[in-house]
Amino acid sequence: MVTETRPPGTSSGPEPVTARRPSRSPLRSAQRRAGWILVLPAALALSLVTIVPIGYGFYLSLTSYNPVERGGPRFHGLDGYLAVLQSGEFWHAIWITVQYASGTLILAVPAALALALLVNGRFPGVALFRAVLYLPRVVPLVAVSMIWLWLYSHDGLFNYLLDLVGLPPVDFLTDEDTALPSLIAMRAWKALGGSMIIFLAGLQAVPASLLEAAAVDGCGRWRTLRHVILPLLVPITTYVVVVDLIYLAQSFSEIYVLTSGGPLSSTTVLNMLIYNEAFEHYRLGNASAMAFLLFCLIFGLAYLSIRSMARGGRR
Amino acid sequence: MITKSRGASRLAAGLIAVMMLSACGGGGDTAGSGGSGGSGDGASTLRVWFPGNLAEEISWVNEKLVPAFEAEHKVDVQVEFVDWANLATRLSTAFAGGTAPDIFGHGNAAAAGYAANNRVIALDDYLAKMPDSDVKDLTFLDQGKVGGKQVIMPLRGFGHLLAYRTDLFQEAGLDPASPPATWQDLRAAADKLVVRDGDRITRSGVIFPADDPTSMSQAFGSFLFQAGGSFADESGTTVTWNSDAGKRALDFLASFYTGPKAVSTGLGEATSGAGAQHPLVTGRAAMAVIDEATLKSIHEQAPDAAAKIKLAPPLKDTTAASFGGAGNGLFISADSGHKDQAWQFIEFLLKPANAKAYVQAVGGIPARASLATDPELAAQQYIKPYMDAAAQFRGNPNIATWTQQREALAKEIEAVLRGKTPAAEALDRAATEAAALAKQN
Repeated sequence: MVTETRPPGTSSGPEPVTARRPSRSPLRSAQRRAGWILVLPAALALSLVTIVPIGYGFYLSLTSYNPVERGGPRFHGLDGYLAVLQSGEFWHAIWITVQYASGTLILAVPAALALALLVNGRFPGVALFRAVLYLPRVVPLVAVSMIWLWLYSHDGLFNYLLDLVGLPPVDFLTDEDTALPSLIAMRAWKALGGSMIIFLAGLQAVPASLLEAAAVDGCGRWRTLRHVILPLLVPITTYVVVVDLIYLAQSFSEIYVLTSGGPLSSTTVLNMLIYNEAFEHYRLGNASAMAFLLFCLIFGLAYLSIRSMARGGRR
Repeated sequence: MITKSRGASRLAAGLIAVMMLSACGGGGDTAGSGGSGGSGDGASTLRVWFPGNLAEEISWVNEKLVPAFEAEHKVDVQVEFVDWANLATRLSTAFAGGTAPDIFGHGNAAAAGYAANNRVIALDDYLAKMPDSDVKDLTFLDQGKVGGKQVIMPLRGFGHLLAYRTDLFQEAGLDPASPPATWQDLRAAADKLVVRDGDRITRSGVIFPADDPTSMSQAFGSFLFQAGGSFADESGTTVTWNSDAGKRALDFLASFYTGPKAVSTGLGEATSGAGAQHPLVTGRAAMAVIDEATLKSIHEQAPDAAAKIKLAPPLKDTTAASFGGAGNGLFISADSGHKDQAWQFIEFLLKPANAKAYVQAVGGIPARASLATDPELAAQQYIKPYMDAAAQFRGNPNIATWTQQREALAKEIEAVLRGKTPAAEALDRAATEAAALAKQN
C-alpha cells in the first residue's frame, strides 16, 4: 500500500472547488417547511412538558411560596439562594449525596466490569447468566426498595443469615452508622446489571486483531486486560460513570422508601431535603432554589468526571 | 421534484391535522367513557379524600357508606384514599393547582394551619342546625375548634396506652392484674422484664412509638402530659414543651433508650400497625405503648398473641394522661362548590350507626359519647380500653404552624433518644426554632 505525501502548499490535479452557500431554491424551502411542520408537534410537546416547567421552577426559585397560602408566589430575588447556601442542612445533604453517589459508583463500576469480563466468554448457559445479572435493572426501583426493606428488617433475611452463623442482628436501616452503607449496597446491586451490559458491549467491540497481536507478543491475560482492554474501555467507563452519577445525584425513591432520610438525617440526600422543604415546610421557593443548585452540582460533577477520565484515556 | 416537495409538505401538514383530529377524537372517547361511569355530570359529583389505606375502611366506605349516601341524597360521591405519608403533599399541590376535593380528611394537627390560610370553612352554621342532643353527643368536637370556630369534624378518637404481655409478666414474677400505674412502676417493671445477652438487649422491657421522629414526639407527649406539662400555652402563641416538666419527661423517656440502664430498643423501627410482626407478638418486647389501630392489627393478625396482651390505664406522674384525643376528621374545602352536600355527607357519616360501623372498621374511640355503652363495641378488646381512657387523652395544640413546629421538636427528640443531645438543650433549641416558625407565619 502506497501513501502519497505532499508538502503543504503544493498541489497536483485540479484546484478544489470553493464551497458555495447553498442556494435557497424553492425545493429546499419546501423541504424546510415540511421539516418544521413535522418537528413542530414534538417541539411544542417538549416545550410544554419540559421547558415551561423548568422555566416556572426557576421563577419559583426566585420567590417565597407556600402552596397552602392563598397569596401565591412572592418575588424575592436571590434571597432563597442565599438562605439555602447559608443553611447547614443544605451542605449536610450535599455531603450525604456525594458519599452516596461516590460510594455506589466505587462498588458498582468495578463489580460491573468484573461481571462483564466473566460473562464475555462463551460457556454453556452464559445467556441465562447474563439475563439473571441484568434482572435487577428491569425491576422498578420502588419495588426493589420494598424488597430490600424486608431484607434489612430486624426479622429479615440478612439478620436471619447473621443469626445462622451466630452473629448478633444488625439495625441496618435504623442505625445512623449503618443506614447509608446499607443504602449504597442496595443501590450498587441495582446498578450492577445495567452497567455490566454496557461494559459487555464495550468488551465485544474490542478488535480481535488487537487481542491476537497481544497474544502473539506474549501478553498474559492480566497484561492484555491492563494494557489493551482497559485503555480501550475508557470511553465506555466514562459513559457509565457519568450516567450513573447523574442518576445517583437525583436519588429519591429508594431513600424515601427505606429510611425517609433518617436516622438523624444520616441519609438525607439533596433530593430528600428538597422534598422535605417543599412538602413538610411548604417552602417551595427554597426547594426550587435547591433543585437548581442540584442541577449545577450534577453538571459540575459530570463535567469533572468527563474531563478527568478523558485525560486518563489520553495518557 | 418541486411537485414532490410541495406534496411532502402538504402530506406532513395533512398528517398532523389527522393526528390532531384523531387525538381530539380519542380524548373525546376517553372522556365519554369516563363520564359514562358516573350517573350525573361533573357538577353534581362530590369529591372526597380519606386519609390512609386500611383495607377494612376502604371496603366499608366504598361498599356501604357511599352507596347508602348516594341513594339517600341523589349525589355522586367520588372517594379517593390517600396514604397518610402522601396526604400533605397531595393536598398542598391540590390547593396550589385549584383542584382540592370538596371534603378531605386529615389529623387534627393540621386544622389551625388550614384555617389560618382560609383553605377550609367554619362549620358552626351547619352545627347550629343540628339538634342540641346530637351536638352534645359528639365527643371530640371541641378539639376540632380553632379560634372558637369548628373547622374539622373528628370521625373518631385515638390514644396511646401501655400494652403488656401477661405471660411474660408471670415469668418475671410480676402480677398481670397490677400493671404499672406510675413512672416508677413502669421503670421497675421494665427493669424486671428486659432480657440481655451480654451488653445486648434481646428483649426490650418496654418500647414506645418510635417509627419516625414524629412518633417519638408523640411518645414524649404522653410523658409531658403526665408530668403536668403541655406543648403550648393556652393562647397557642408560645410553646411550653421546654418547661421543667418537659425536661423531666424527656429525660425519663430517654433513660429507657440510653445509658447503661437502657431497657428499650427499636428506634426507627416501624411498629405502627405491625400486627403479627409487632415486637409484643414476636416476643422482642414485653411492654409497648401502642395506639388502637396497632392493637386492632394484632388482634386480627395474631389472635393467639393478642389473648396474652392486656392494656393498662394511662400512667400517672402528677397527672394520669396520655397522648391521644381527636383522630382523623373531615374538613370542607373553602373552594368547594358543593358545601351543603359536603356537610350532608359528614353528617351522614356521623350518624350513630355509621359512627359505630366506622370504628368497627378502623378501630379507635367512637365519635359519639352514646356509643361508649354500646355492647358490641364494649366487647371489642381493642376498642373498650381506649373508650374507657377517652377523658384522659390529650392531643396536639391548635397552632397554625404546628406541623412544622412539631417537626422541629421531633428532630431534637430523636437526637436525645439516640444519646446525641441532653434533653434540656434539645427542648430549648426546638422551642427557639418553633418561635421563629411562628414569627414567620
